[in-house]
Amino acid sequence: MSKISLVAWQQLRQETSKRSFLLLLLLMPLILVFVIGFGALIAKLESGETTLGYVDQAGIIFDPTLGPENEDVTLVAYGNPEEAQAALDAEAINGYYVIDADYANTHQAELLYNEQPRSSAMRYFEEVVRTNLVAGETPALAERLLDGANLTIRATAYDREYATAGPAAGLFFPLIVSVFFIFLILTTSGYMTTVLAEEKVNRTIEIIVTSISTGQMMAGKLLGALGIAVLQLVVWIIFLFAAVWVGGQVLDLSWLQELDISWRDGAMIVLVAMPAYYFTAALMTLLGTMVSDDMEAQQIGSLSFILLFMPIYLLMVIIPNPNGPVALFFSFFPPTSIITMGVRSLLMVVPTWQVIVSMIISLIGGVFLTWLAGRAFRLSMLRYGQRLRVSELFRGDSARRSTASQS
Amino acid sequence: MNPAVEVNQLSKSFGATRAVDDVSFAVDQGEIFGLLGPNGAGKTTTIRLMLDIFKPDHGTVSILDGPMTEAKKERIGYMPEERGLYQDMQLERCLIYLAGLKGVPAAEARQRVSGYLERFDLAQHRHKKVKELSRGMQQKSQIINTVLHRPELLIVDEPFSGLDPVNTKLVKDLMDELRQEGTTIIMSTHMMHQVEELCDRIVLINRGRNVLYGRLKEIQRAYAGHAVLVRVDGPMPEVSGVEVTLQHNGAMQLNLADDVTPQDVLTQLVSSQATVEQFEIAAPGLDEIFIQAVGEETTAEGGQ
Repeated sequence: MSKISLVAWQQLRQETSKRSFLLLLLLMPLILVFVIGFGALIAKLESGETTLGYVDQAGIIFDPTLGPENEDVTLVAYGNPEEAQAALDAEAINGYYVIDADYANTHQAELLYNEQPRSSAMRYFEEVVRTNLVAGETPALAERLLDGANLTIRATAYDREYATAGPAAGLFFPLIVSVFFIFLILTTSGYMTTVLAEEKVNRTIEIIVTSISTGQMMAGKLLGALGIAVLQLVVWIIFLFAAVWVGGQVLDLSWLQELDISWRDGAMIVLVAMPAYYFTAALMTLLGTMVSDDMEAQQIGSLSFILLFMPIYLLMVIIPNPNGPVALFFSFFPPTSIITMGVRSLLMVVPTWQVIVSMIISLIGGVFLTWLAGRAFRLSMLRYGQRLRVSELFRGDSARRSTASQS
Repeated sequence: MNPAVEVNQLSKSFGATRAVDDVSFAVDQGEIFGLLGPNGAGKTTTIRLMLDIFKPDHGTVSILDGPMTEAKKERIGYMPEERGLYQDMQLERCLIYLAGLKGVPAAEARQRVSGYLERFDLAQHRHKKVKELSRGMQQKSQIINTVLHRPELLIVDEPFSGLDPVNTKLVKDLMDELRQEGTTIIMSTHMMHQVEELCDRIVLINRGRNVLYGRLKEIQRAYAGHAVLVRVDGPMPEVSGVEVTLQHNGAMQLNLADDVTPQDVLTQLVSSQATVEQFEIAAPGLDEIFIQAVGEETTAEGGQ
C-alpha cells in the first residue's frame, strides 16, 4: 500500500468509526423514511371504501359503471335529494352529489356531506360524469376529450422537451443529485477545515513530516475525505433507490411508479460534482491550515457556503438564459458548478464539452490547492496561535521559513 | 568511513533572533552522540535543520551521505521534543500505522509492535486508546514508534523524560543494544549522568553556538582540576603537598599544590604502607563541565 493510500485509508477508518459519522449516514435515510412514510400515510388516508350517492336531475349519468375502475368507490343513485339526505343521515353513504337540472349550461353539481369524503372518491365521481358526457362521441374523440390538454414544450435551442407543460418528475433527478452533493459538502466541510488541526492537536506533525512528504500527507488526507464522501453518497443513493422501490412497489405510491429518470444528466452531475467536491475539500483544507484556531476556521468555512449557494441567488439570471455567460461561468467555477449544472440540466441538455471543461478545471484547481495546502501546512506546522498570511505562501523558501517560530 | 551526520557552519535566524549560529559537528557511524545545551540553546532547531524540517540560512547538512531526501526518511527514527501520538487511536493500531508510514509492511509491523509491547510491558494495553495511557506509558510508546522501522540513524530529544528508573534502564538498554547493532544515535538531553553513561562524544551548544565538542573523556580530562581521588583501607595517612581535602562519594578528593604531582602523592601513599583501594585523577562531572562552560561563555559574551 502506498503511503498516500495508507494515510487515506487511515483517515477513512478513523472518521467512519466515529458516532457522528454514523448519525450523518443515517440522516438521509431518516429523511427518506419520513418523506416516503408521509406519502404512504397520505395514500392510506385516501384509500378505503367510500359510498357516494347522487341525484342526477340533469339525466347525464346513464351508466355509472362507465369510467376508470375503482373498487373502493360505490355510487348509488337516488331519485331526489330527500332520499339521499335520509341515506346520509342513516350513515349509509359518505355524501351525495346533486347535479343541477340545468347542468348543460351551469356545469354545477353540489356535494353534501357530514364529513368530507376522500378526495380520490370525489375525483372518481368526476371521471364518471366526464365519461358519461362524452359517451355519445366516437371512441377516438372521447379518449382525446378525456385526456384534456396535452401540451409539449420544446426548447429547440437547448434540446430539451417538457410534456404537459412542465418537466417530468425524473428530470429533477440530476438536481436531486446536486443537492445530495451540496449536502455532502456542507456536512463534511467542517471536518475538512479541521483535518490538519488534528495533527497539531495530537502533536504528531514532526513525526509525520519526517516520515512522508507534506504533499503525500495532504493528498492522503484529501483522498480519505473523498472516500468518506463517496461512501456517504453510495449509501445515500442505495437508500434512495430502496426507498423509491419500497414506495412504488410495496406501498404502491403512484408518484414513485412513474419516474422517468434522466440517467445521462444524473451521470453528468456525478462527473462534475466529484472533482468539484475534491476542489472544495482542498480549498477548505487550505483555509483550515492557514487560520490560527478552530473558531476562525469555522468562520471562514461559513463564508464558503455563500460561494456554494451563489447560483441560487442568481437563479433569475441563469434560468432565462441557461447557456449565457453567467451560467457558463458558474458551471466552470468548481464550488458553484454543482448547483449550476443541476439547475441547467432541468432546462437544457448540457453539452458534453462543458461537462469535460468543468471537470478539468476542478481537477487542476484541486491539485493546485492540494499542493498549496501542503505548502501552507509546512509553513505553519510549528506555529501555534498565529495565522499564515497569503503573501507568505508565495515567498521564497528561506524567507518563509524565517517566520516560523523559534524553538 | 563517512560520518553519519555532518553539520557545517549551520546558521538559522527567526526574525531578529539568531537561533543557531555557525554550529559545526560530525557524528560518526555507530556512536551515541550527545547534543547538549541549556534551554533555548538551539538544540531542537539544529535537529530540525538536520532533518530538513527547517531550511538553514547558511551552512550545510549531510545526513546518511548527502542531503536529506524522502527516501532517507525511512532510514531515520526521530523522537521529537513535542511528544505526540494519535490520542483517539488504539495504541497497537497507532504504532502499526506510523510504522507503515516508515515503509514497514503491515504484517511485519504487527509482529514488531507485538514484540516491543511485550518488552516494554505494554502488551496488556495494546487495545487501549493512547489517551488512556499514563504519561510514562505514552513515552515508552513513543520510543517504540521511533525504533520500530529499525532506523540506521536515531535522533532522540530528551528520551528519558517522564520515565521512572526501571523504564529509564529499559530505554538505556535498548539504546545500548541498538548501538551494538550499528545504529547511530544522536541524543539531546539535560540528564548529564545519562550522557556520561551512554555517549561517546558530545557537542555542547549555548546561545546557538558550539561551546564544547569532542570525545567525552577528553573533555573531562581537559576540565580536570589538579586533584586526585583516593580511598584507602583504614585512616588516611598524612600526605604532604595537599592544600584541601574533601569527601567525594566515599573517597577523599585531595586538591594538590601547584608543585605537587599525582605521582608524588601515590609514592607517599605506597611508602606509608597504606592499602590503596582507589586512586584516580579527579575528573569533573559533566554537569560541572556544563555549568562551567556555559558560565564561561556567558561571561565572555557579557565582557564583549
